[in-house]
Amino acid sequence: MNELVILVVEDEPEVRAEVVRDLQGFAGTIRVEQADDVADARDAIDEVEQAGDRVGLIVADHRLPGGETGVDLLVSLKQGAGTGTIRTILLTGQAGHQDTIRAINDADLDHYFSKPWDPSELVAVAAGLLTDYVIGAGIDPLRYVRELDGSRLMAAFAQRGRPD
Amino acid sequence: MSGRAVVLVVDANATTGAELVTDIRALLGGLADVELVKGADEAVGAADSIHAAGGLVPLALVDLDSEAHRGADVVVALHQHPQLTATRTVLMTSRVSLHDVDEALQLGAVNGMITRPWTELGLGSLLTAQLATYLVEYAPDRLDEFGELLDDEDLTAAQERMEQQRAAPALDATAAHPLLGEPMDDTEMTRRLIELLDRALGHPARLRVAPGTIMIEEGEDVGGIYVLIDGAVRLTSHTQAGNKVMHEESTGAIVGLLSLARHRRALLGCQAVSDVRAIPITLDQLARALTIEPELGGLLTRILISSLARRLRRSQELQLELDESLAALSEARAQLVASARFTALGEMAAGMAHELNNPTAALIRSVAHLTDDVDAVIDDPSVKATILRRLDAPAMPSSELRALRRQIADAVGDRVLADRLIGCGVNSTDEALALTNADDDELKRLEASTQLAETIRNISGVAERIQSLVASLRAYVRGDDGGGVVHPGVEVTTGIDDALRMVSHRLDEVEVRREYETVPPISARPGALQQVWSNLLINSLDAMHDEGLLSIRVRTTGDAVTVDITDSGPGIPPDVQSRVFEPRFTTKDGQVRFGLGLGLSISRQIVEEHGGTIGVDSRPGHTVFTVALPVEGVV
Repeated sequence: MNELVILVVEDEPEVRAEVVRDLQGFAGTIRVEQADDVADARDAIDEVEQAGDRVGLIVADHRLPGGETGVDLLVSLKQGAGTGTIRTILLTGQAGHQDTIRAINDADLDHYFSKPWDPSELVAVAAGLLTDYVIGAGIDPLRYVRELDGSRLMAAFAQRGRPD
Repeated sequence: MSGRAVVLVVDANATTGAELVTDIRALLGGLADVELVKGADEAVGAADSIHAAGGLVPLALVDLDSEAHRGADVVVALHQHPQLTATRTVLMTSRVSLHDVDEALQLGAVNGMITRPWTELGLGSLLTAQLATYLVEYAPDRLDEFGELLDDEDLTAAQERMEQQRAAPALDATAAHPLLGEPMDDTEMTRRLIELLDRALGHPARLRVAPGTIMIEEGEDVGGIYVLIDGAVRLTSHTQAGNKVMHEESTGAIVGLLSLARHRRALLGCQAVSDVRAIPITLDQLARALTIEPELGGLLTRILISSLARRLRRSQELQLELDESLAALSEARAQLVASARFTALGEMAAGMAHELNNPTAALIRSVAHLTDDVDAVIDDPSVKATILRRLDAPAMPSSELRALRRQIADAVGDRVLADRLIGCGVNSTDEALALTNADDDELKRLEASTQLAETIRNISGVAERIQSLVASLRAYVRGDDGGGVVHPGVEVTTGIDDALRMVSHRLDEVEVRREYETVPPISARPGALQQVWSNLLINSLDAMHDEGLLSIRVRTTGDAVTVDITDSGPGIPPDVQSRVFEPRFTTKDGQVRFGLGLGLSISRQIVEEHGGTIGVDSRPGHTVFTVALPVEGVV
């Protein structure tokens, strides 16, 4: 298997459906999974790992039910073993200023979108971050040349095997 | 045996001089002679011959208005003549200003002043007072001669004066300094002051002014002080807020002395508020009096201290009033700002609710029409079935969706195909396997129709949420724009749910437990009640910092509907509980904020207007606000 996964964490089904649909263009090579809240997101990550796949990007809402926020999730992933390299996008309608600061400082947040989001921008940012992840994780870049940033992936491929 | 007593009238104008002579003669009734002279030289000549004959000149009236000579020069000349030095000199003028006789005043050569046209009464009292002073000082043995002219008061004063001159030494080393002596009341001190001034200055002229007369202009040069005998004056100051009365009750007996500390510029204006009798004392007179009468300095100090103390008290009162006013003002301002802000917010919310209502209604109708149209346009029975099934199906939880995708992927052996099949609305592996042979066109059509159905369902769900938010908002603001109209069938639980929806953004970390019994609708003002529920909910959420347990219980108690709102916040200290419904009371940094302090007092007011009660019971982790509203509360 060894598939790359984008995980969308959002509690409102209508919003979740739209985010997933906006990211559906990656579905040929990158799977889009979804979760309702932080606990569900952890389950989803476990499922992905058990299947031998890896989560490359998380798109999380800030406000989530169940006691933990999207920022809490991102912070814990950043500190967790094996999840620290996952790229992160915070997608939120009303994160307080303090939460955003915490996300950037403690979760090393890669990108911040406020609702309503621009779908083409979301796709472009997601592609860039997944490209970073693929190159950083040492995954075969050729597989993602079509969906992600092809020229950077080709350059990375050309660098492979050469001494630093 | 003694010589004549002669009153001199110095007037260059024969006509006015003769009038004055006639009047004085009439008043004196032959007790003294009156002579008219034209100028200083004639006056000196007359005085010499009167003295030569053993007579005396107790009084000279000098005309100030004449063009023929400067009145001040005449006065000075008289004063410097040995035979006239003791003579009481009174100015006769039609002007009110004393400015051009300054030099005469400086010499202490002027003992009084009378303005033209004079009255018989005014002239009479002037004559008797000046005569009495002269006689006491220089010819006490002749007092009896003038007995019928002098009134009792003058005679008594004269006799006292003679007693003193005869009996007491000038200085009594054993007497306490007047500043430290026996306590005296203000009236007593003033009386004594006037007595001493009269003695030292030879009964200076009294000034009578009518109410409203400005005695001192603020900021102007002050030539002396006024000693108030009777009547009331007020001291005023020009301020930005107009003429402010600084002292009235607190004026004291001496006016103008403080100006001396300010280069003779008057500190405050002085105006008579009643008929005032005062003694104007020039600074030189004052200086002289202080030298002559050692007791005067102490007495003056004492009166001044007493007067300053009174003024200081008054100024402290003013300061306190000012502090209180400032505190009240800043409190009022804070309330005003808060209430203006919420009025503005309320109006904006009402406007928003109305503006949002129409497009939302249109949106909901459009979605319904869209559904009908899709149904009419699509012929393919399998597509139609997919759409209709998807329209009614609730959204699947993410975890189930992920499990379904895994099952289908295992069954069909292709993850991408499994994704597509789920996109086609497939709900089970059986359905998935049935579609494995479908061609790409068929799959695309099914995917699109599923997507179409889901989109319609999402739009419809979202539109309904907007509509219910708008409805809550409208219900919330109804009280404000409806002016509190009473409705007979208000559902308490609906109102609470509306208020809950308005604070839903704060409920993420809050477990809300609702226990609603079936309760009868009540007669109430719905908008006002909304305010009560919102205030109580916001108050609880503030106390809980938006996390913990919030229980809302609605039940029937006799003829009332009772609502308990319980939060798991830290609780209200017992000593504070009794005051939480007081206006402006707040446990949060003394700030006036919506839903705090003001909120609870407004809530109590509204509940009581409905004939109900509101109360609080609190211990740490458990605070209950209980509102009981009679079913027929207001009609």
